Amino acid sequence: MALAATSMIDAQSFVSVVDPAAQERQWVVRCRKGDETALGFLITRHRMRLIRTASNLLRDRHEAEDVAQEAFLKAFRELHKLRDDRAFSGYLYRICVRLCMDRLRLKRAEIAEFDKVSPCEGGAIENKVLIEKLLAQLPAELRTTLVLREMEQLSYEEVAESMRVPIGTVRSRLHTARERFRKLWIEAVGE
Amino acid sequence: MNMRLFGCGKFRYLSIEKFDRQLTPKEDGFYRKHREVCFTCLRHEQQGLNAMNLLNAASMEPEISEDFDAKVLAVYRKSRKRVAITYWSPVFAGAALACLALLATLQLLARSPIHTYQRPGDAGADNRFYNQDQQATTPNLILHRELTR
Ligand SMILES: [Zn+2]
Repeated sequence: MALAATSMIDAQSFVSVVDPAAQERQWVVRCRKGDETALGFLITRHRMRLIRTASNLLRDRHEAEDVAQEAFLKAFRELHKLRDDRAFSGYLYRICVRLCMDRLRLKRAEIAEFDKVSPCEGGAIENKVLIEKLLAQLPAELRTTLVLREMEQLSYEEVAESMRVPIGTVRSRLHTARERFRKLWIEAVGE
Repeated sequence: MNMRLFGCGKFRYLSIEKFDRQLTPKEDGFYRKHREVCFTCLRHEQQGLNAMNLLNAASMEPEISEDFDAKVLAVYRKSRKRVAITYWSPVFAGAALACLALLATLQLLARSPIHTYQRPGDAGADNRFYNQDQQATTPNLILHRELTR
């Protein structure tokens, strides 16, 4: 009996060492009980992905960190809404994408008169500035779809899950976004 | 010529679809043929590719500040405390009100006429105290009487 219990514990610890998903599930369970160490583990595991996506969506490192922080806090506070502990990663990512989209909508509303885009000089920094200006002219939904697919290299399914829309919507938005981005780029560089 | 006039829309649609999926042999056949005869579409496609390449190249590599984790945890702790206070504040308010009510009741009881209750025939319980000739037996009152004489 004791041997069986020991081997069960060994198996559990083995799973937690080998399988990141099982490990994460354990952390989420501990978080629900208010364990801050587990909270720290989850932050360390997901911060890079969240900040990278937010940086690409918002094109601002500081704002990206703010949004990532907000996403973590919201996810931890609303952990009771998560029905499946295994789904934490997707849940957190969705919150982050939604927060970015909210900020993009606000920003777009602020840009009533958009500056005329200056032609591209060909340098890396100029290109980044140009990309920021071009992306700023796309509506939040199109911009998010394009960035998640082209920069974050997510699959259609992942984009759909992150944005909580059907795959068909992702497909059509992506099509429109690429075409609009191409037109904006042509206008900017005058090809 | 016909292909150029009527197939441009289809070609452009396929040129974007090509980013994400493999075209069917039929679609691929059309795509290749149209590409050979329509310079405008060829250019359109090239522009689209350049724009997407530019977009991919502009991907940002995150730089995370060293105290990011600590900051998130600190804000989390603070927000939890705030939530706890918000949760318990009605209880505290209720307890404070109950205390006030209790104090008020005690005050009222202390002033209530039950302490100056007069039995029938006991004329003027209050006056007893001030009736100096009969009642002043305590040292203070005796002193007071001496001084006011
Ligand atoms: Zn054509």
